[in-house]
Amino acid sequence: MAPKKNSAKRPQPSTPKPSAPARIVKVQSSDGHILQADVRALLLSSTLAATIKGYDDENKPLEKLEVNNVVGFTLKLVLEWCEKHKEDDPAIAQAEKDKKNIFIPSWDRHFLTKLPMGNLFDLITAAYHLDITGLINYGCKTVANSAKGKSTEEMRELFGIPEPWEQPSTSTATWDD
Amino acid sequence: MEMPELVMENIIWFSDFRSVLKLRQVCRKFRDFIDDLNDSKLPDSKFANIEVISKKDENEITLFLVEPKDSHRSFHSIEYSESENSRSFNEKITNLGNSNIVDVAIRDLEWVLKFQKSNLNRLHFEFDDFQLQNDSSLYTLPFKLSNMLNVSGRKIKTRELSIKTYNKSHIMSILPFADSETLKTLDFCSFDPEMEIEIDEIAKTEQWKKANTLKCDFHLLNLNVEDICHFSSIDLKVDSITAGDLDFLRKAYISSSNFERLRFDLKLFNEQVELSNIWGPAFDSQLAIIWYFRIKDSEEKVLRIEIFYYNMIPRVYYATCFSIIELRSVLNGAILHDYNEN
Repeated sequence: MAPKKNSAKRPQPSTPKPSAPARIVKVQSSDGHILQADVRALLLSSTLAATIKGYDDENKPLEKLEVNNVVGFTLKLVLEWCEKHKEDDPAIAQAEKDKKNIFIPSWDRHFLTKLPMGNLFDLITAAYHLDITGLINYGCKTVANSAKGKSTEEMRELFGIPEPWEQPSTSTATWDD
Repeated sequence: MEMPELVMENIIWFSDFRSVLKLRQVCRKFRDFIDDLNDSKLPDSKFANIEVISKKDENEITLFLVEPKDSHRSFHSIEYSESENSRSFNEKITNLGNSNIVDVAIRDLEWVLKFQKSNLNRLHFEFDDFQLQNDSSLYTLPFKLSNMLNVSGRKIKTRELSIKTYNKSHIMSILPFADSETLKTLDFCSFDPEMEIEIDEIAKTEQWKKANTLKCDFHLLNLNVEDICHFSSIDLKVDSITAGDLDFLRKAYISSSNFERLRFDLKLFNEQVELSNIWGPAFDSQLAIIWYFRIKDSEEKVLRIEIFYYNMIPRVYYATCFSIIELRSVLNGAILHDYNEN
């Protein structure tokens, strides 16, 4: 895949290093879709990284990884995100560990905000199951940013909560502006 | 929608304080989740100042929340009216039904404090005198606040704690709940300018011992100067002070590296002769009698002690000030005493 333009102000690999040919494996979703991915991208998932290591340690050929809790549509989004970030400087992940200074790069902002909220929640949940810290953080921060400044009713809509509930009149001031 | 707990926790962490309080009202599940969440997983409300003010005339409590200087708006005000039995916030009035407004105000404050992680610049309480308002429950505010802080086990991180009250016991209702490592300034103010206070109990607290600035508008009774000599800046009212106590303070401050200033308002002072016996003759500026002392390890700084008087017959001394000044500010003709720790 040709590298996409990324204007985010974050560390980027300075010069592309001549690298070994990509090691491509098949990844199967819970609903039977089979996708292909570069192993370097899959290593962003701690869960998949452990599985891949298991194969490598035993010198077993890795032909197909099964992801039993993510459907094909969402898995495709996960793999697209991982592909985009497979060459990220590990210092970024280290710096974002404490979640205090998380900056969402422009590519990710565009990628995440264009998704309908339901798909975004599915993507975050998949990132949680696959243990992809960066995607969890960017996704959750995108949801939090979407909720900012919304009224309770608008939030109910955002989170797909069906009906209002009877709450005590004395509950905390709503901070509606 | 089913979301793993970690995902929900992250969304809350990345939200702002107001969004989380609104999220809490979206559904029971969100409310229970947020209520059960450890404070460390909540976002910082980042207020600079918090003020809780009860007013006798309006029969109301006001909670002022002041934003840091760089925020888009300066403050929020929530009013709790006892006569209307309502809460008013951003022009939205909520009838509080059968709830007591003191309880509601305290619960709202508890939420704000739950989110406040950064240090406050100032935490201010004003407890008006509701003793004669028989039908008001607002007199319970200081005690209920104290209970809430006690139960929460939370120490409030504020640089300044300011309490204005008609009842000196209210100071001890609040003071122990300030974080002594953060607290720098104590400001105690009385609705009654003649009100007197003993500081025995207050002076035993860590908060008192670790603070460096004291402003006290009460008349202090039985002041033990050893209790105040660690402050670098002091404003106090005392009935009187002995020459021995002033000399104790002089010795403390000429050896102190951080002393800045002290002012005692006095009702009565008549030990000027004793002082002259200890310190030698004073310089008379026609406003005050003044002594100057060199301080430890400094060629440039001098401790100036002034006792101000009204020029009447007989003279009435009304205040004493200790301050660190530049050597060049010593008045011509005055004696500058060498540093001598004895």
